[in-house]
Amino acid sequence: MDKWIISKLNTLVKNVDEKLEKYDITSAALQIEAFTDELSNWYVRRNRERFWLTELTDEKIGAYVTLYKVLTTLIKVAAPFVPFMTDEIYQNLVVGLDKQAPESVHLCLWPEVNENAIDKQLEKEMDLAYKIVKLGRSARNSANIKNRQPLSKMLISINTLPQYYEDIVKEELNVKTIELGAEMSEYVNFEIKPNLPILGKEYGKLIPRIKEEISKKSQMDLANTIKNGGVEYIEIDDTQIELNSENLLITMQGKDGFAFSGEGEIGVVLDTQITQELKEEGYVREILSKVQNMRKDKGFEVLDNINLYVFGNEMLEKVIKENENLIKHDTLAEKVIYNIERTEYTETNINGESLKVDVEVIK
Amino acid sequence: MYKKVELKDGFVGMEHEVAENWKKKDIIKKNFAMNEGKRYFTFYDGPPTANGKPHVGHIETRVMKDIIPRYKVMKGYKVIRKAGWDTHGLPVELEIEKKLGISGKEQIEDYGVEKFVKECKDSVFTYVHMWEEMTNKVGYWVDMDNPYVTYHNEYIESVWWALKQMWEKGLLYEGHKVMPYCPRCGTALSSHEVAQGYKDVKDLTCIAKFKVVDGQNIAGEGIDSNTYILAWTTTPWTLPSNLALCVNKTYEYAEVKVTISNEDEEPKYENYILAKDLIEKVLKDKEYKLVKTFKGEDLLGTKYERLMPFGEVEGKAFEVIHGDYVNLDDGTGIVHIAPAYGEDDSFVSKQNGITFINLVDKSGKFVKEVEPWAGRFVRDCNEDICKWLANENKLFGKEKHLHSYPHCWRCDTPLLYYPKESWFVAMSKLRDELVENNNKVNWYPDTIRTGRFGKFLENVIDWGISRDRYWGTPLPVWTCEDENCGHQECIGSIEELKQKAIECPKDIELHKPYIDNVHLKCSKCGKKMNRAKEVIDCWFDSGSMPFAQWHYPFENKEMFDNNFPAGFISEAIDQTRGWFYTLTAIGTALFKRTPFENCIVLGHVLDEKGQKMSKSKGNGVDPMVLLDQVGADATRWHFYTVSAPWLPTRLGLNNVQETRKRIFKYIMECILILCFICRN
Repeated sequence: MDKWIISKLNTLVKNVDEKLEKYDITSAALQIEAFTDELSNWYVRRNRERFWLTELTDEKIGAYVTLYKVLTTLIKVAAPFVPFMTDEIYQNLVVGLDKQAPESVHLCLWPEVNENAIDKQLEKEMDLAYKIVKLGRSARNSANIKNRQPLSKMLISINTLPQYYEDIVKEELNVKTIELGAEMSEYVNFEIKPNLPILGKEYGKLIPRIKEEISKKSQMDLANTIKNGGVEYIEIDDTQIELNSENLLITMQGKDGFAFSGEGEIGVVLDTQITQELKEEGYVREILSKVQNMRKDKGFEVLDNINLYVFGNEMLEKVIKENENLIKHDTLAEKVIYNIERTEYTETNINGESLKVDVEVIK
Repeated sequence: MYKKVELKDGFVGMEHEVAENWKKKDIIKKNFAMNEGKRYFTFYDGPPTANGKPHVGHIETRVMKDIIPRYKVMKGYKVIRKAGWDTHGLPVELEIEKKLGISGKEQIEDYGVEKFVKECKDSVFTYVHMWEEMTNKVGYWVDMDNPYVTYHNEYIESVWWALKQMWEKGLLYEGHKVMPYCPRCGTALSSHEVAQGYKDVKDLTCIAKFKVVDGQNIAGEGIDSNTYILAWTTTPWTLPSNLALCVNKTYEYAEVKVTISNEDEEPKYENYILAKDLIEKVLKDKEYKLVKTFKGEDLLGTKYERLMPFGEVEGKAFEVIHGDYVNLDDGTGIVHIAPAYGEDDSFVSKQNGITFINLVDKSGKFVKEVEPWAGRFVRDCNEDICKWLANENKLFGKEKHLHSYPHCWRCDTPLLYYPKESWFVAMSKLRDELVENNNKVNWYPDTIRTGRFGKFLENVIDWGISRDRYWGTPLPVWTCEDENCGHQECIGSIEELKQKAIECPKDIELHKPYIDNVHLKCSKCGKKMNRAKEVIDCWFDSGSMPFAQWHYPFENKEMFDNNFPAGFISEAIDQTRGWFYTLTAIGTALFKRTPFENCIVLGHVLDEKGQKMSKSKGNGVDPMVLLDQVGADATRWHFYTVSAPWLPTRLGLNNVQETRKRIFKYIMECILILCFICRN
C-alpha cells in the first residue's frame, strides 16, 4: 500500500509537470484532484488501523513517514494552484519540524521525480481494485444496504485480480466471496432501446436495423459506455449512426436479488440475498459499531475495560449471547449484563431493531 | 504542534493569516528574487485600466496569469513579473467629462486642455487600491511596486521610438479614408475597436427608385420613360449623398413591368430594373410582367436622375458602375453608392472616377445644404427621408430590418462611416508576415490561431492610429507651416526633440497641451513646424509594452534582450482584437516576430445558470465578496478545474463552495490524521 501511494505520488509529480509544461492547466489540476481522492478515500482509509495503532511500531511509523512524504510533496505540486492553503500546511508540517527548510513552500523548487519508485503494474492493479470497490459501494447504495451488513457474494466481470487485491475488495465491501469472470447478463437486465422520438425522426425506416445492430453488441459495454457519456457508432448501408445518451433509452438493473454497477468494461454485481446467518452477523457488526462509538463518546481510553449492559430485545439478546466472546473481545468488555434496570441506557437502532445499551468503565 | 484549520469558515481566515505571514517575512519579494542568474522565463502582464473597478472576469485572468510564472519559478527559471497599468485613452477622458459635467470636444477646449489633461492624469489610479486589494487577496504575485505606466514620459518616449521606426520603414502615413467614426466622441475608431462593438439593431431600411434618364438604350433597345432602377439601403440617411449605382457586370438583371395603381380606370405601370434572381423576393406578391433580361455589363454607364437635390455636385456622377463585391444575398442586386460613407463605396467610386460629396458634419448632423433636416443627427432622419421619398414617388418600399451594426465600444453610440484625415500604420503591407509569425505561436486553443485570430490577420487592413483627442501619447509628427514646403518629420526621442526644437522646456512632459507648444525648425525651408494635433490609439501603448516597460532602447537593453519574446501571456478572448493584435502588429513591424510564444485565451465568466453577467440582470458576482466569503484558493481551483480555460466558466458563490468541498476536505482529512499521529 505504501509502495502504491509513493508510486502514484511520483507519477503525479511527473504528470502535473508535463501538463503544465504544455500549458494544460485543467488536466494538471484534475490529476491533483484525482490523487487527493485516492489518498484520502483509499490510502488513508485502507490504513486506518495502522494509524490508530497505540504502540509506536514499524507499521505505524511506516504509515506516518509515507503520509508525511506524500503530503509534503503534494503541497509543492499544488502550490502554484492554491498558494494559501499549501503554504499554511507547509508552515505546519515542514517549517515546524525542519528549521533548515525554506521558510515558505513558495521558495521551494519543484519536487524531483523518483522514477524507480514508479511501478506501473502496481498502480494498474490497485487502481482496478479501488475502482471495483467504488462500483461495489455504488451497487450497495442502489440496493440500500449498509456496508456493515455482510453479503455472501460479489460477482465481477473481469477475469483476473491477484489474491491480495481480492482480499482488499472483500474486506472493503464486506462480502464473503468473490467470483471473477462473471457473465453480467445472467444477473443484470440490460435493456437498450432506441429513443424513438429522436432516432426515429432521423432514421425512420432504419429503426429495425438499428435495433438489430444494437442487439449484436455487448450489452454491458454499450450500456456502460453510453451511461458514462460516451458514444458508439454503428454502420447501416454506409450510413454511420452515432449512438449516445440522447438517442438511446437504457436501463441497467440487477435481476431480483442482485445489485449492479458498472463503468466501461468493468461490471460488478452484489448478491443481495441476506440469509439469517448474514442478518445476525449484520446485527453483531452494528452492535460493535454502536458500542465503539459509545466508548468514544464517553471519553474512555482505548485500553479501558468495560462492562456492557443490554436491555429490551429478546431476539438481539439471543444473537449477542451466541457471539458473546467476539463482542467481548472487540469491545474490551469483561462482562455482558442482560436486562437489568438502569437509568443510563441509550436507546439504539440496530438495523431496525431497538436495543437499550450502556457501557461502564471498570476501574 | 499543528493548529487546527477550520473548514467551515471557508479558509478565509487562514488565507488572511498566510498573507500576513508573506508580508511579514517578505516571501513575495524573496520569490521574485529566486533563481537569480538562471535562465529567464518571460511573462508579460497585459495592463488593465485602474480607472475602472475590477470585476470577476479580472479574477479569472489574474488566476490564470499567476499559475504559470509560479510553476516556472519552481522549475528553476528566473521570472520577472512586472505589473502594468493602461492609463491613456478615451475611457479615461469620458470619465472626466462625466465628472466635470461636460461633453464633447468643444466643451473640453472651453474648460481648458491643460486642466482637463491634469484631471485625466489624476484619475487614472482612482481604483488602484481596489485592484491591489483584489490582486493580493487572490494571490496573484506580480510586482505592483515597480509597474510600467503608459503615461510616464519614459514609456511614451519608447512608444515614440517605435513610431519613428515605423516612419522610417514607410509604414506610418497620413491618409484620407472612410473611417468608422463616433459622432459623440468626435473621433475615428480603428477596425479592432469597431469589431468590439457590433450589436444587433433594428433599423429602417428602404428600396429607393432611381429614375433612368429618358432616351437611353439598354442592351440595344430603348426603354420606357417611367423606368426606375431599384436599390436597397440600410442607411437611408446616405441617400442625399448618392452619386452612383453599382451592379455586378456578370450577373443577370431584368426589367419588369408592374401595375402600380388600380384605382384609376386606366391602370398605371412602372418598369423596374433589378437582379433577375431577386425579382420574387423584392416584388413579393406584386404581379409583374418580365419585359427583358440582360447582363449587368449592359447597364454600365446608364444615367439616372439625381435622387435628392441637396448640395452641389460637380464632376462625374449619377451613373451605373461595376463592383466585384456586389452580391445577391440581400436587396436588389444593385447597390447605392455614397462615396463618403463606406469603404467599398469609396473604393469603387475612386476606381470609376466618380466625384465626392459629403453632406454630414463632424458631429454626425446634416449640413445646411440639406435643408429639410439641417442640423439633425443623420440616423434620426431615416424615417423623414423615407417620407420625403414617398411624396416624390421615389420610394419603392421600406421595412424594419434587424442587422448587426457597429457601435462605439465605449459610449455605445451607433458609428457612422465618415471621410476623415487620419494617420495609419500600413498593416496591410505586412499581412503575409503577420500570418506567418502568428502561425508560429502556440495558441490555447489552437483554433484561435487559424480561426478567430488567423482570419482577422488574413484580412487585416491598415491600422488607423490617430485620435482627435487629448489624453494620450501625442503623435510625434511635425509638419512645416508653409503649405508649399509641407515637410514632415517624425521624432523618436526626447533628445531628438530638443535638438530640432526651436524652443523646448528642459522637463518637457510628452502630453498635450505642452507638446503642442514645441515647434521645430524646418530642415528644408527653415520655417516653423507644428505638431499634428492628434494623440494615438491607446492600444498602441499597450502593444508597445514588451520594450516600453523597460524604456528600451534608451535603457535596459540587456533586460529587454533577455525578455523578448515572452514565453507566456494570457488574457480574455476579446483581446484577439485588442492586445493580442497590437502586440502582434507592433512586434511584426519592429522585430519581425510575434512578441509571445504561448497564449492561453480565456473564455467569459457566466453566472451559475450559464447566463451572461450583466448589471441590468444583477447576476454579477462581486469579486471581493467571492474572495471574502468563499476564499481565494477555492476560487482559483474553480477556474482551473470546471472547464478548459477558453470555455465559458460558470461561477457563483454556491458552485465555488461546491468546488471547495469537493477537494479540500480530502486534504484536510489526511492532515488531521497526520496531526493526530504527531500528537500521540
